[in-house]
Amino acid sequence: MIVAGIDIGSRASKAVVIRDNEIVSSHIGDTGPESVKSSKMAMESAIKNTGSSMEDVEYIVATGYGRVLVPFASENVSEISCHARGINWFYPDVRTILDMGGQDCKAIRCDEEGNVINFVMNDKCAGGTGRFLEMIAQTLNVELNQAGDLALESCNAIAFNTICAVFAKSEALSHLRHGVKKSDVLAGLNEAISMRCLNLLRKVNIEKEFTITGGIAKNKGMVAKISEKVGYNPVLAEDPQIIGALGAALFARDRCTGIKPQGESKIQYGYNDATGDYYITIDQSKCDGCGDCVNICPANIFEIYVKNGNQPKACISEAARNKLSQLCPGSQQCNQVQGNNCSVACKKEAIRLSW
Amino acid sequence: MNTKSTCLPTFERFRAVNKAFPKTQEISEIKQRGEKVFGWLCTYVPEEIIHAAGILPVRITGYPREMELEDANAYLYINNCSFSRSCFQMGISGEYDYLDGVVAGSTCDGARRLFDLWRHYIDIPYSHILTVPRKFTSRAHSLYYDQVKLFKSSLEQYLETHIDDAKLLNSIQVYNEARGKLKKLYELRKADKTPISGSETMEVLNASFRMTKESFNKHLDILLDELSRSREKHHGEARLMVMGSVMNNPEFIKSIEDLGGLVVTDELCTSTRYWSDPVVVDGVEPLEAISKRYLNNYPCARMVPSEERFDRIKKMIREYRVDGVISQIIRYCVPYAHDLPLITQRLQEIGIPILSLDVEYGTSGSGQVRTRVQAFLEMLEARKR
Repeated sequence: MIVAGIDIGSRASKAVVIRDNEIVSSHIGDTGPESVKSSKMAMESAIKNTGSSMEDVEYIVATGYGRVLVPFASENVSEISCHARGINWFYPDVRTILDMGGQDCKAIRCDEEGNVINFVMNDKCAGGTGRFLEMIAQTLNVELNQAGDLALESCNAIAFNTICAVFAKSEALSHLRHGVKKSDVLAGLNEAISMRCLNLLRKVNIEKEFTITGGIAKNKGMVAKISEKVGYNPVLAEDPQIIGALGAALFARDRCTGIKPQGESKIQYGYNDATGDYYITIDQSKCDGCGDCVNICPANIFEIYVKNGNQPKACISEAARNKLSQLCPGSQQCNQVQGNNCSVACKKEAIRLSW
Repeated sequence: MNTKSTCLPTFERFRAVNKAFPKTQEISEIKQRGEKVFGWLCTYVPEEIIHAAGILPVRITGYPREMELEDANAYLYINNCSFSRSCFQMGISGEYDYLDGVVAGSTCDGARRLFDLWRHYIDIPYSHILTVPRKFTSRAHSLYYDQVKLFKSSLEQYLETHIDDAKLLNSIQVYNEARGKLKKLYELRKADKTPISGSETMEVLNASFRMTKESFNKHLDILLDELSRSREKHHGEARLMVMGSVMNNPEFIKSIEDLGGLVVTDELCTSTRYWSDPVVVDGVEPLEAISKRYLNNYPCARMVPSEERFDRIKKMIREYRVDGVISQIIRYCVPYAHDLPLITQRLQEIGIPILSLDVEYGTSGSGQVRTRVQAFLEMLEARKR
């Protein structure tokens, strides 16, 4: 059985492929401006290494910031659940997780099965996240993957007054002008960020079995600072960045092995722009492939497909998926013109529009 | 949750009122007849007195979306909550220009500063603010009773009329009727499958602030009848309660329900706390009955002791069989923010998880809100297994 998980983060797209009880392939790529394209690229690269093809993958679960916009995923699960589930595969003893991503930080508590018990996330401010470190590395003219080691060389960390991305940048520059070493600046920032993480962790209670996931967990300087603050050494996965995608793949495997009925699967199609996210959800467990949506839609975006000789189901046609923003005006608008639309016409109540 | 909208004609009417607000047809007809419309700002303002004076009270709110607050930011310091800034933005840009008066309660700083600025910068014939005590003691009661009397006489002086007990009793009856019907509407939400969703309930409540209570009562009666015959049923993977700062945005609740939860009740000044207790005229003067009801009503987070509020919340959690609580707090909403650790602890004691969201007034389903809510729902689901 081959299943996959895909994690579309704000900065990186990760994909993991599992065959039975083994991770057979993983891939990390950038999330470009078009998250649909990035998700395809990440998935295809991960599959390529396995010698299988997309058709062999039985079930795909998407997670991360772009999770609703993965056209080939059967379902999406929040990254919080996925990180807890993913780390449980490597370290079932872990109870506290700090996920440090591109745009946010989360502290998660989980139980022995990898179920989330409690979680907190940083607020709107992205100070002290992956993107912030990237920007500081750029300002200091240091390679991002060397910033951690460089910070470890410091023996005189500078105290920062702020981790506001804008102010920290100018503060860092002014220190450099006064001849402060780059390593001391980086160590100072790590110090400030780790304080913020500690506050998050305290809200969910830190236990000795603790881990850091996400891209920043690869930054040795940051990990050192955080373990110093927390008082425990974290157990780190071999690649902490793929834990979210791994969790998603494990959820996908659950669906196939019937731990949770596969009937829950929902397919989402959509797009996002400055005004928000727009997506159509088709609940595959409810859909009986009757074709009412195909007939009612004035823009012809639906089609019926049959997979592996199963019952026919509705989906959005390949051609319409990339042009959904132009083709579908949303449930309210469509209602006004026709007095009826796909979600009203569907007798099984399987279709839902978010706008 | 299934979010197919309830296609009931009366519900659509409520929705139309909300869409047109602040300038609804009913309000413009009232103004054309030369009658007066007052705006009120806080649930500690006794609406019955305004109603008894023959004036339509409408609740001042912002739009159900995050607004550009350019003008408001120029007048109000940044640490005033986005609710007060949203209202002021609408006031200063003339969207409430039909108001003949503004009445507020000195409950929180947000409401208080908003009132000060409204009086100062927006041309308004009548304005009044009631001092609201924070306790439930007998001295607090006599202070608030005096405030209510003062408000009535100030209104009488302005209108050059007399508000007699008969008028007050009539208003009490009309308002109690609305409270009773809203309670009935909430009773429907105790079922496993509810005929009305949380976001739709919010539309009904919003309409209740914006219509004459007589007309609202009539329509709500029809809606209750329609709902009792409706085949449309809403069901969610988890039964949720929403609490926290002032929030009257159906879109926010819809974004929660779109993710599979069902909002079955709430602890908000725009909903439960608005209708929960009736005025009991039992051997006391109508005015005293009003003052008692408003001070003893389901309390706001600013009131002490907080246990009064917490006990009511726990009771609702039992009655509506709530699986999880979503707290949404507007930045700088101090009373609710300070109460959060306490209520979190109380809920932990009874095994109810709470998700706390930092929001701005008018926020709906932003990406960050959705991620948190989805994870919370997944967590609740895992607990059930």
